[in-house]
Amino acid sequence: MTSQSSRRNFLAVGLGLPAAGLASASSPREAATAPPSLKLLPDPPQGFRYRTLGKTGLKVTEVGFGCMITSDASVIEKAAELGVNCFDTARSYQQGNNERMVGAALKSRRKNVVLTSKTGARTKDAALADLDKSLSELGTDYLDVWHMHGRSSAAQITDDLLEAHAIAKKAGKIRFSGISTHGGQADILQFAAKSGKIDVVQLGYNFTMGDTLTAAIDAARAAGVGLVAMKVMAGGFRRTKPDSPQYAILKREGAMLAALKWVLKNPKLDTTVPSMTDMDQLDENLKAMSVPFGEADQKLLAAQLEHISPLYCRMCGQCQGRCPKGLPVADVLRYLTYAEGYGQFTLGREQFLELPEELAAVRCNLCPTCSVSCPNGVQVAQRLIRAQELFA
Amino acid sequence: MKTDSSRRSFLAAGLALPAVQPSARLSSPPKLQYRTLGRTGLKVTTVGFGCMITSDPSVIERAVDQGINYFDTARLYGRGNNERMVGAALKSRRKSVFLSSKSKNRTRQGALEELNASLRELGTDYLDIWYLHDLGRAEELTDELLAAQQTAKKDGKIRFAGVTTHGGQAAVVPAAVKTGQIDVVLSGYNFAMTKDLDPVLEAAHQAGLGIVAMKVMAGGTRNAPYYPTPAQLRDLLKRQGVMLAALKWAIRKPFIHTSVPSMVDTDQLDENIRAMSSPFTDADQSLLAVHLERIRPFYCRMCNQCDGTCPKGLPVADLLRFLMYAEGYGQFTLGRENFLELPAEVRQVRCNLCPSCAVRCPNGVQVARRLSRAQELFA
Repeated sequence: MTSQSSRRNFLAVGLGLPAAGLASASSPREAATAPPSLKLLPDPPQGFRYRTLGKTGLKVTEVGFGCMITSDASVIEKAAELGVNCFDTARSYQQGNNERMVGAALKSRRKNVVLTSKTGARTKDAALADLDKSLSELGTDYLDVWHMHGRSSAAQITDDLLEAHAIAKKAGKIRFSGISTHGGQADILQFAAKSGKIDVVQLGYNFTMGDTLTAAIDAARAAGVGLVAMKVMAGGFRRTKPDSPQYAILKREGAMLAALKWVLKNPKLDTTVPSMTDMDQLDENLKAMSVPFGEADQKLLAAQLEHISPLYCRMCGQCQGRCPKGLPVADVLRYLTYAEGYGQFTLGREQFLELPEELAAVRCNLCPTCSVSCPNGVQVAQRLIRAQELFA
Repeated sequence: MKTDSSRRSFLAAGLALPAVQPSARLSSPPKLQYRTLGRTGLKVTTVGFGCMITSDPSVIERAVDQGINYFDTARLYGRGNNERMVGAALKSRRKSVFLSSKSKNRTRQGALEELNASLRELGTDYLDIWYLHDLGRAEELTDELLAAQQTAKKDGKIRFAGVTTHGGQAAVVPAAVKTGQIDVVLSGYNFAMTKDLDPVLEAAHQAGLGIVAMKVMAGGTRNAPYYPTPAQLRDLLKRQGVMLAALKWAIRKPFIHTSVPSMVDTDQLDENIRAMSSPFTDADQSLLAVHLERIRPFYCRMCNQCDGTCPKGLPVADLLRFLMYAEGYGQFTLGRENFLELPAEVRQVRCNLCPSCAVRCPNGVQVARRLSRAQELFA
């Protein structure tokens, strides 16, 4: 109701008409069929839908903005101008340059948006130092949510770090505490449900995961934990080649939008933070808030799942510890996804080069057979060899 | 007719009959235009590919599929990661394309070490062209560096020697010709730059050098909300293809043998390829005129007239370029990293502390404002 009437006012203002007269047509249905003369105007802003981020009470747009790989600040500015109100970055993104850019882009709108950042620091002192740096780079005096970055087991949520969060809250530097997790999501969600000290969990969640996380998500929700979905596009992999069996279906664009809509049809997730690098992607993603998930989307996702099954790690964690050389298989697959799926070669390589030397030196083609088998069909040995060839 | 026959091929392919593979997005193979790159004799497509800001190797692969045959990178792009990506993308087609890289090292030994790193990262045993990167003045073209290029040639590591220059064309290009040892010049060249550049490049072309144009889009500015343009005008320029017009402008003269526009996605690639089949028109000319007015207060044309006029010693044109990377190209990190490599005393200058600015731009760039903006974003 509210959004309809404000749309109407907006149109009326644009035409210099008295708004009051128009406002008398009050039902949404009538409003949707606007008088023909109004159609001459450019499209009004996209419809936005909001959800409440768990016990934080923050009203967030269903589609937020993950800033990690964005290099063009104008895309972030545009998103904020259009009404996206949730933006996520991290201290480590783009060697520390991402926060600076996000801060510059959101500067004039800081009060109107929910801003989240993260640190991977493992001690209280290092984490708090990172937080101060995040605030100065972002040009703000508080974060709405501050995440412990990339935790894969509850054991990594130390009392030391929880204390850092308590100190930061008390100092007014952060409003809420969060954890982000790529692997071990179920463990982290259960921890957050029990601890009472965690307000938000940001988890990898997409159509490849089906129902695997349902129980853990329910537990976290029951405890009032706000849930942010990331990795919603399942690695991107936007393009198929003409020789692919899925090409006939996937040459039609829309699989990425379908993936985002798939996440949003689950009311248990409060918002999403898809990556966006240009205006076209922004425009496309915003549609997820007004166009429902349909049968055509289901078909696209089925084909996309076939397309990415040999390539995409679903982060189920079952391969953990299986490689006799000690390779962190899921991580290496993720780095390769950054290069090939997201189209961010440098990001993938830089993460690979941060592996300990003995792991970066492993060459999978020297193993006669690979003892890691993926329950979801990723061709592990072949993918790891590819990563070593590209990055090492 | 045409569509029918390509549809026919597509159906045939589906039936496993011998047929021409249809391209992924265009209904027929794009029309390509070739020129000879001066005395190198290389037959290059007039639209090449500048890889500096590309992060997605599949865009490069697709460019090769479409027939683009010249690719340019540099040792320092992407903090050393760009060459690795370009090498991986071109790998199986190395022999069918021309590949260039650059070193900014100013010593013989340092440059040759960088060349070895380039070859290793690119996964190749030779470069078609190896450039001395970013020469601003003729004196930077030293005998030592020329000797390094000759050594590399003799060792078979490079086929041809080149220089690149953003703003020093008037001095660097004639100096390069004079050495007799430089085969190719990679020069900033676009519709916003002075007309005096044409005779300089034409003379080099006459002397047998290959001429490659870079910075052909005059700073990009596809989105650039900082540039106070009414949204309608911005959309109009985009719709009518002002970036394509800029590229067509750059390659319309025969003394420009090829160009290396940046491309970050396949939409940009597909648009740029069209520059080889559609002529530069009056409509393009007026589009560029409107666009030039729009970017006047922001875009540095690299005329170098401000060189040395800042009493604090700021390299004004460089700073404006770094800001353009962030705002025009949409590459914030690239701009900031370049800024952070400046000497500390330069980074510490704050232009808003000067009561008035001594630097005057003959082309209307609002220098003090732009420099303050760069300091605010990057420092």
